[in-house]
Amino acid sequence: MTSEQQAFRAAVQTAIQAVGSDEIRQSVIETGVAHDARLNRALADADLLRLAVPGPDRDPVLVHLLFSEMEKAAMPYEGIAVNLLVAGILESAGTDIQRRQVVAPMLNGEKNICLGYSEPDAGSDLTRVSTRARYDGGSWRISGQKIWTTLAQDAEWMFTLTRTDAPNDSDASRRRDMTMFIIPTGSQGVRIDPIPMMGGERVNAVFLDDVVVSDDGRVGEVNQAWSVMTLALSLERGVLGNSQLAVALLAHTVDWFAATRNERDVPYIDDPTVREAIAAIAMDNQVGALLGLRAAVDRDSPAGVAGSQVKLFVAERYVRAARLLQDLCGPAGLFGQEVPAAAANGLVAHHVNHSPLTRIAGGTTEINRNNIAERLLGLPRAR
Amino acid sequence: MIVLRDSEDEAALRSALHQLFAKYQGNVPNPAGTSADRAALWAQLIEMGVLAMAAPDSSGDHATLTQLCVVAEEAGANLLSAGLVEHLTVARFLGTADFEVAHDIVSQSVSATIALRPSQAGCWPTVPISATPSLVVGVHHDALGVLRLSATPAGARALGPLQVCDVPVDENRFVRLGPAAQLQILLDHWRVLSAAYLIGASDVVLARTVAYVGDRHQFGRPVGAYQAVQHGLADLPGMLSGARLLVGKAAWSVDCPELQPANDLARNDITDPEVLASMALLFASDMANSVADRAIHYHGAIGAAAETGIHHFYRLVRSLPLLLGPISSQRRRLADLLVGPAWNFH
Repeated sequence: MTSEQQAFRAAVQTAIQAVGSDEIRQSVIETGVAHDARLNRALADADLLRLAVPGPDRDPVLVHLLFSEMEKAAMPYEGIAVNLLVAGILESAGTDIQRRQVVAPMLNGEKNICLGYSEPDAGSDLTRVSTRARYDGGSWRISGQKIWTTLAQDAEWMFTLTRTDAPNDSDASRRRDMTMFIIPTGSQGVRIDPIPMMGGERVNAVFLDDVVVSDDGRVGEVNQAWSVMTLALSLERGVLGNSQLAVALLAHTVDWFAATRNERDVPYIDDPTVREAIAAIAMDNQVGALLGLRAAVDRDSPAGVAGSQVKLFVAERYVRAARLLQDLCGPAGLFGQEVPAAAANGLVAHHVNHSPLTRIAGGTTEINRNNIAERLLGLPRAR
Repeated sequence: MIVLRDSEDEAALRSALHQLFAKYQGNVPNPAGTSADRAALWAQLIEMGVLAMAAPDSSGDHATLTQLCVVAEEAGANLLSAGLVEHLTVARFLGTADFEVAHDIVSQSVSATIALRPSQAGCWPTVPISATPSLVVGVHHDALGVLRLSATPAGARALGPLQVCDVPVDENRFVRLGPAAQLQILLDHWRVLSAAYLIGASDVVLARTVAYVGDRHQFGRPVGAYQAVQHGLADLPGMLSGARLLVGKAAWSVDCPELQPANDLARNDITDPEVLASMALLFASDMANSVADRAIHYHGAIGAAAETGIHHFYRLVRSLPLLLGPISSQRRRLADLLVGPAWNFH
């Protein structure tokens, strides 16, 4: 590690320690919101958000370090990840006005943006987006519905994929006829409804009813949203978190195993089956971290392939780890923190309920497998 | 921070060995039936100085474990090289401690192996002897020592490309090298190099399987165009890369003894060479098992046919890790290193 990278990591650790991490961890589980304004502000005040904006001329290791430190401390980072991703996109594809009015307040830790990609009929296949944007008398009028929109309730803007032309039935046409906008969520005609998820997470449905957006809100050229999406993929590259999902879970559960006796009055930690599980999960955690680091620094492989490998491996192993630990904990693994006997203060149950979503959000396991099969292994396109 | 890619020297070494091992195509077909190829390969390994590279040269320098991992990984592409990992492990150990016998390895191109488990009733069990070794290093009566073999012991058995046999320890010829605990150093290096070997072998078999499913047609399409097949294969490159990165980290931790070894589960900060060596072999075995399983299956019946040769890889993957003992014991040993020994179950 260079001295700049070491100093950066130390500064991230200091900022996390300064905001009182126990309280934040607790709040994430209680509210289901994976963002904390104090943490965001503390990182911004130390100038760490600005240093971790991903981009072609930036050090990807800094981005990796910011997120891996937050993951190890079990800090909520989803909002920060989206803010930095969009900041990176706007640094390359945005306008000066957008950099001044949107990027600057995000990097100051004052304001957030959310991603308006998915729709009820467009999940993994975003070429099916039907939210419509029409140019009318010098501004745009946008109508449609977005869904699974994480953190929309805390966001000043939504980075929104829209359809700007009626496509014919070809993939190329569907990709071509889309345009990206930054929509202020406070605009007239925007409605945000919460959707509670099985792990207690809050996501949203966002309804857009003839929302007026000035042309200053357009990102990239008209009908060129797909090139913005491709840029986003190249910036994301598996470095914005999600490489150490089971680290805090394992550490807290090991502490519980050491402090608790099983039905034979033997400490859980002395049970050979428990010990084998700890070894296996610790191995997967190491491999996930190394794959994440490689995705950060590897610029040789085809777009998104290294990121797909991290996401696929880490999310699948995380689901497996959470359930394996719950099986070993017995009934204590079933309860949340409100039950005193809950394993690891309710963390085991929380991770069992939260983990399935991680292999769907941000690119499903199946989409990542398609990407690896086609772009890395060179197999024929199966869709 | 660890280095994630080859240095210039390592890349040159990799490229030279890649050509050598490709020349004698041993992964497939049948390695057992090509003893002339095997002899030719080993003659080339001697000529290129590969057998001697783990021992110190005239100026006292010897190869790093990272460099030996490059050798082991490339060797894994060709199963006629079975036995090279044991040889490199022993040569490195003898060379770094400057034992007399290390000079034989350099001057006489002697090949060596390791008894992975201590002697029982005067005999080392299941010793890998694939490269017809003249030296065996192992633990006998609480001492690590070396035994010169006058002839290959009787009763050798083939485990796919591996040859093993029980080796009786002749008390009169056994030369003490140090305390028995030093075996762990040898075993850790063997774990890392064996993991690298499995990675090299898996890489070749995966590439061969991908080529096959692209070529083989059923229902008018390549079988590799079906998503069920694609998805089974798509899980493998990440596991393979992960195994390679873990081996690289383990070798790096051995090559940098000045590092303070850490075992911090809460920060996922692990730099202890013993832990990383153990993880490297367990993870690489798991990965290689997945590759073997899917390689045989996606080939269809031809994958199970003896002539295809994938079964040699399958036998290797099933055999090599078990030579150390049951997998569950190996995982528990890793747990001992990570969270301290258990007190109630022994």
